[in-house]
Amino acid sequence: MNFFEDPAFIKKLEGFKMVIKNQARGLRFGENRSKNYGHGLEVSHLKNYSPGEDIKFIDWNASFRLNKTYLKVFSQTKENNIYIMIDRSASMDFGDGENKMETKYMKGLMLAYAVSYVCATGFNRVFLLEFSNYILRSNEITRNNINIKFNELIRNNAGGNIQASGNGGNFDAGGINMRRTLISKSLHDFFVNFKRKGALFCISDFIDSDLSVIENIPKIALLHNFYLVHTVCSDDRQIPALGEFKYEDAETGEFIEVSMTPAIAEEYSRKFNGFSAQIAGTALKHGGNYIMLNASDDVFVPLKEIFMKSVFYA
Amino acid sequence: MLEFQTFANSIFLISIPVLVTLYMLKLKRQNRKFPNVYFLKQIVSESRGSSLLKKLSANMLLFLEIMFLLFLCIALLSPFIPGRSFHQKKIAVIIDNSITMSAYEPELNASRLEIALNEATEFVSNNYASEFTIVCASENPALIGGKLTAQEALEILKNKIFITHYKAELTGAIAIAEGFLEAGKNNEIYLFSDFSSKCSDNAVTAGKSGIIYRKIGSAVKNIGITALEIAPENETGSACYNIFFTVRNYSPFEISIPVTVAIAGNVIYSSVFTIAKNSSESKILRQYGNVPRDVRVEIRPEDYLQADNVMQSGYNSSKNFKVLLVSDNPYFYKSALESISDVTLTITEKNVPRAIYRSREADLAIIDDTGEIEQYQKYQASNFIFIRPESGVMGLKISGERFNLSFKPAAQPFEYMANVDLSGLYVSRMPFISSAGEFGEIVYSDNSVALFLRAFTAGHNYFVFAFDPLFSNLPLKVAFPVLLGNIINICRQNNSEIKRFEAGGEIWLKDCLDDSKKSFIETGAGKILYLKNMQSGDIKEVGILSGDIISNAGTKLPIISTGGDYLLYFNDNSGNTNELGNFYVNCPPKADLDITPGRYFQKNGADASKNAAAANNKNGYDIVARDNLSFSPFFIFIAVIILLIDWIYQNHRLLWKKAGDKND
Repeated sequence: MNFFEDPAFIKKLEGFKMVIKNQARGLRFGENRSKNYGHGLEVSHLKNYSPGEDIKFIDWNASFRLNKTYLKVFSQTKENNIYIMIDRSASMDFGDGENKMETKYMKGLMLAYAVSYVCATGFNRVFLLEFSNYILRSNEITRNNINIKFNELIRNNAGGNIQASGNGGNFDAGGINMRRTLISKSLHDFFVNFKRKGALFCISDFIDSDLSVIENIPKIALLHNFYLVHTVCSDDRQIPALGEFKYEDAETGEFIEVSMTPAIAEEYSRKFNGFSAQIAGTALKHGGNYIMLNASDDVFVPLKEIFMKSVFYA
Repeated sequence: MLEFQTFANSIFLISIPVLVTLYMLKLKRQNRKFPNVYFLKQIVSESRGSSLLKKLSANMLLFLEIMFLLFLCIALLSPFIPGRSFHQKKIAVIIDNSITMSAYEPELNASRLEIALNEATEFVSNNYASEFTIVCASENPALIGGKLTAQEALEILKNKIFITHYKAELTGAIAIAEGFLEAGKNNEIYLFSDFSSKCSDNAVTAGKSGIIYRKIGSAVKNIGITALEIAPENETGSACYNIFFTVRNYSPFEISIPVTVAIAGNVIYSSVFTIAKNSSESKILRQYGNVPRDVRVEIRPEDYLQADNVMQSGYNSSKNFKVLLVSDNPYFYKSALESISDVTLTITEKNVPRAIYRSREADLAIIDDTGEIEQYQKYQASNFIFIRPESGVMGLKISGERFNLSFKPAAQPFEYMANVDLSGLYVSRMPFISSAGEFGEIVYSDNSVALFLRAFTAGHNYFVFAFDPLFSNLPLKVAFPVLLGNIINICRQNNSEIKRFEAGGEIWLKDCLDDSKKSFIETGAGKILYLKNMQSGDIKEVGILSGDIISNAGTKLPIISTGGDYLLYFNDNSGNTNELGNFYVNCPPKADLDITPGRYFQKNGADASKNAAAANNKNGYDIVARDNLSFSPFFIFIAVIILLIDWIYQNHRLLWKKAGDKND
């Protein structure tokens, strides 16, 4: 049974509501207030009546009370664009828990589902984008297709392969390693293909060949409200054992021989924590948000933080 | 300064690169998939500094193991500070202040006594905690001080010991020292002497205390024969030679010393030389006859003088030459042959059948008997002189007699006859001899008279006289012995040439063996090969006989420092001596007076006599450094500490790993 088929999971999600203020950029009518005024349902403010204006918008109550004629001005309500990018590289297959089954990817997927579910309910356009080397595929999620789409995702990714076809499942037709994270390239693809402003959730472990996420945060901040969800597992945070090891990079297949001593293990943890702190700091500096999602954590803890904090302000 | 007693153990240092190699080869790293090695790469590249220590610290286990092995190897090298000791001992220091200790050592720029006192001072300083007794060892050994502190001993060494004009009495000095020391474990006697007195061979203790001999002085001896040359001369047609030799006095005193010269063991000259200090005296002796094969100059040093007392020259090295004379009138030849040195003559007797003589081994057979000449192949001789042979012998043609012959001199007169002046030779009967067979050389006298024909085949010389000795007016006393002497020299050179080597040089065994005897090596394989000095009778073992000794990478003989005839042989199963070759060792042109003794040589009790004797022997020193401050325990302690750290490190890893597992 998939996690979204669990009624308890769905029931918990019902309690969440996404609040995005003055950020609706959609074309279609929605339920989020936009910065524009016009034909909406909600009165934004009153203004003095000028001759020639439509009298049907006169606020009679206010006019009599104040002895002056006022017109009601309505704010437009529109849909919001919600982009959820989820990392599908090989490093996301690492996890915690019994037999390491709680992978970073699954935890990220649960979070993506929760966000999609909440946002799709509120007449938002939700796009779920899978990326690694580049944007692998994108899906628009609605209330109607959300389970179908996530079911597809889980099925396609069974066994650690991204696609059933291709060169061993890890390489695309062009020979590019689809299991390797390239955040700058993926974000570039995203910027090119999704030009409307919106809210971006980026779920990843953010480690690529040059830690490019740090330098890309300002670019994201220009166009979108963003939330960086840093998925980590215990292997990321701390070296599990000491001794003579030959470490194989899950994404690139690169080998490195290390005599793992306590000093090196400590240095590793220090570097990793430093990197996490750097992402968080840069994200906050540019008006974004950062949260660390442990593979072993309950997904609702970060969800509460995301939804209950009334996140996005203009 | 730290020294190493067993430096040969440095071979164990090889274990370090071996360890590193094995470590690298056998290091099995576990494969482990990892989300991303970005940070690991960064850390490894940061830790890969140029510093070796940095690299090693990344391989802590290897580093610890290398350190452990290194310290263990150093401990095995037995590092020590020589002569330094913290033990409280009772030590007797005997200083030889005999006359020979006044000899000057040019290398150290000091007299032997000064050197002895310096060494003794250093020794006392290094054993500051001990109690000292100081004894002088001149002819009347004296106790200078007993039960002294180190400071008092140093004062005595500095001020109270002087050279005397007596020879050393080491035995007495040792007896005094040993009597003064109480018997005990920590008793030691140190003897500083040049051991140049003959009585020093008996410098032993009664066995109660250990004695440590310290040889002082090494550069030169006090007196030695520095030159011995033999030069052939020609004095109005008579062969003679000069023996030239020099005796040098290196000591700072005038000495009188007996000198004898012996030829083939017979003393021909005996005198006493009085030689001023640091000078030399030479002598030339003229002797008549052929150059002898063995000349020996010997000096008889006084007891207290150290000397190279024998020098030997083998100018003509051939062994005794056996001549078999087959003639009915032997006395004519005998008088000539007897004047030639080193010739053993065997003469046939009238009543004895000639066949008996045929089986006698001889170097030269002179056959003046027509019948026997035809039987020459039955003779066991190497060379033959045929007198009045008949035609047909070896293709010889003889036709009648010729008088007043005038032969054309040969373009190149026979080498050995070139200097022979036989101008007085008058031949009354000269057969006309020509050779159609194997006689290839005709030897002429200076006035172009043919003297003899010579053939050399299959290792044998054949001579046919071109004149009848009995009918010539040969000046028998001069010319005929010279002629025969030259013929014998020809035989020696061609037929039994003795190999010659220089004393003290390298002598390869394969060069010493007779070619004809090389087949014996196989039959005697596995037997012990001996080298015998024919003069002194000394026998040394050279090695085990095998085919390898004649190969290019064969065996070298031990260094031979005494000149003379030498014989290589082995004894077969039945005890018979099988000669493999003989050779002659020439003395070096001047005596080698340098000796190189060890610094310390020591043994306890009865064995000490050997060591005292070894003091005067160039070759036999036991070099033993005794009572040194050893650092081996210290290095072993450090190695153990490192082993402990290694153990803790490994346990620390295990604990760390377990904690990590719990976290997982």
